[in-house]
Amino acid sequence: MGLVVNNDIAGAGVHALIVGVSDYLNLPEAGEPSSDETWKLNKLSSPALSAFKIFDFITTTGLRLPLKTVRLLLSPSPAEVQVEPRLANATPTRASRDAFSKLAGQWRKDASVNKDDMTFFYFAGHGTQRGSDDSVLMLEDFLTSAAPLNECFEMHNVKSGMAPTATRPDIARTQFYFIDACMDRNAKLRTFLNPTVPAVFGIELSEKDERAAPMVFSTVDGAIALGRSRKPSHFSQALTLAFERAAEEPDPVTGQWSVTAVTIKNALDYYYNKNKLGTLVTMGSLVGSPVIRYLAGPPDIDISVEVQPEALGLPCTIGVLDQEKTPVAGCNPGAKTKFDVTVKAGAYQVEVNAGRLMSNPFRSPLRLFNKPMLPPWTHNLSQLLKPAV
Amino acid sequence: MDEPKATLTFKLDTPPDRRWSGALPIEVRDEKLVVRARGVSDDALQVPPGRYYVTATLPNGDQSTVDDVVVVSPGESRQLNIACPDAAFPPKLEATNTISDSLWEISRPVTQYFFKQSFALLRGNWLADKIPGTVSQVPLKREPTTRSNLDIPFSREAVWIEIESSKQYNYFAVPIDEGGSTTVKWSLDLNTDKLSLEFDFHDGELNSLFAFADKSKADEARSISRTLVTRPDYYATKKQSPLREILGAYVLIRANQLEGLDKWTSNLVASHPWLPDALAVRIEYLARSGRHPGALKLLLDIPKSGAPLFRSGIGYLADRARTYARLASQGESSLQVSAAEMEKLERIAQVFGELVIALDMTLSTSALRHVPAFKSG
Repeated sequence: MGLVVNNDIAGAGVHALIVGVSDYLNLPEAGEPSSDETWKLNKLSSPALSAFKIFDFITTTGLRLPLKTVRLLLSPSPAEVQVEPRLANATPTRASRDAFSKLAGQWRKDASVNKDDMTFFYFAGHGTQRGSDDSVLMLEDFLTSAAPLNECFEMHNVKSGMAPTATRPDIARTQFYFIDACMDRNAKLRTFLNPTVPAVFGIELSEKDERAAPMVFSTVDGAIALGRSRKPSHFSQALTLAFERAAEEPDPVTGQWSVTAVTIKNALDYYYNKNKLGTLVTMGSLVGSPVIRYLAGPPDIDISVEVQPEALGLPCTIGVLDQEKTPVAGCNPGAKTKFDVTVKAGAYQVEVNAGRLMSNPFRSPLRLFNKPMLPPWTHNLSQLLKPAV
Repeated sequence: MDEPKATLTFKLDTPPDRRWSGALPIEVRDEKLVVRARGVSDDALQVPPGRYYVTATLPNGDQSTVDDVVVVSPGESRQLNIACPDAAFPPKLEATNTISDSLWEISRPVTQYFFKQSFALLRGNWLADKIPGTVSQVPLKREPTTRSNLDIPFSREAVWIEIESSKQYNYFAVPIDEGGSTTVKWSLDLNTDKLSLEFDFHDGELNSLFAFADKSKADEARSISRTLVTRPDYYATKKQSPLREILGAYVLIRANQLEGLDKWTSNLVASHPWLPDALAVRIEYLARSGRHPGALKLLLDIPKSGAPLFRSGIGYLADRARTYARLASQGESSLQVSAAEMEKLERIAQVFGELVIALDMTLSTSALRHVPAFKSG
């Protein structure tokens, strides 16, 4: 049930648990009015697609360790299945509370054998915030029973249950958690006196907790989840981009570039700011500096270049050179003074040949680019221009 | 035999009289972009002879680089100038004190009924009131104000600002360094309910570290914090700042880099008992180290100390209180508590459980949204 990848691997590997809930059984359809009784929530049409996108990535492109197990629970909407037919047969298991509890228990058991293993947890669906490193997340049968949160689970409980203890001394020490949910502080929740969420894991006192266990939340404090109808969410989009590119320094020995929790956060922030999404990604828990995967070489970096003033006189050509003074391939802005270019991480300089320059060409000092930056790389050549005639 | 290393020191061309100053994180990379040295700009870094790119990072994430490649020979000592753009440095915050502010204050008893928001400054430990049996405390003092920016000098009482709007109460902490003052500016947007805060601790290095942590510049904040905690010789050259010490501890605890924190957090509690966060970071450190009985013992003292001034502290305490309350009630043998202590622990867990739900996650200082009014004396 739900175990869609099960590889017999010697040595360290990854145990993944991926959940995407769009088709909430007791909520009205998207776009229909939602009442106080249904917590003003509706069915969704993005989480299952988002979860599947992440599942696709880790099973095709891969992480730094081989996959040992992947457990996948999806409750897709019909609209999502239309967009991505593979959703219909990706997993036999829908994301009910009962199924989640069973699979989470198996996931933890599998992850308790080798300290060097890595776990990967991803949830997409409805959620409500409950603290800086915690949230209450809703499974497909939310609101089935009278107790309001019976078909939910808490990230605090999952995180605590995955700590090293006397009974689980060899639990994986590297644990990634990604939560892609609306973190709206639901008004309905506040009407209940001390609502409790049934535990997924029994909790024991932890031994010395040396985990690197970053928990990344897609949105923060009252902002609406960045789901897009019938498309993977902005968060899942940004996350897969981060997995592909978010490395900022190479290993001194192997030369591989590490994608870590911190570089992922930096890349997610850049994506959110660049696309003006108006909210923030937050990262909490025991963050550490865990590596999720390696890139074989320097990543692609998007940079914006701006040369001032606009009137540089004709003829005018602007270009970007690498540290060997070789023009960057495919970068042909011509006389455009504002342009974007994608380069491999490295050192670059801008070269300008312009009619009004007192001396041609102008070459800027070399500048290092190892992560994307929003402010443009600006060069003001006003002092180097011949006086206007 | 290895060639002698070169020593790099740095001169930052930072604009004067701005909110940020002092040490900035430095990275020294070779031509393959491998980081060969990492540290802070008022410290010396050693690298093998070679060619390097040198970068300083500002708290807003902007990078200032030394122009071009830096070439150093064996045993050479070189000072590098790093220019930092004026525009990237925010100005110091100043509390305004105009005639109209004074007039509003005078007329406040009448005019407050016409404003959509009202403000007050609270001094004292409001947490004690929520936990029965907490040893006698000075009643919470409440000073109404019409101002939306204040310069508040240090006292040993915690300072929180109350914002009331349509009978909904919001509170945010104002951290103030020992012997100093904090200028704080705030606004609550009535349409979006967004709370915006700006702090100036009147200490450029503290402002910088706070900004790095606040803006999630994790690598940079860790670089500064690690130097503070693991290099007593370096910190001894600095103005002693409990807030900087606390921030450093929070950054490293978040990173789960606990080396050096046993002594550091123990000293925080011993030296700065007025600072609630000292207890919070010590408790979290002990718990992470598996020293749960010690963590629990200190947790029971939290009501006397007060609520942490930084959001992470409230989160950590809520987490540990909930776990200890559950396990102690189930008879966990290493968490021996009396019946009275059990009752207190459960109450602490309940109160902090309510506080975390109310935390404003957009702010790194503690801010509680839409909570019942704090009772003042």
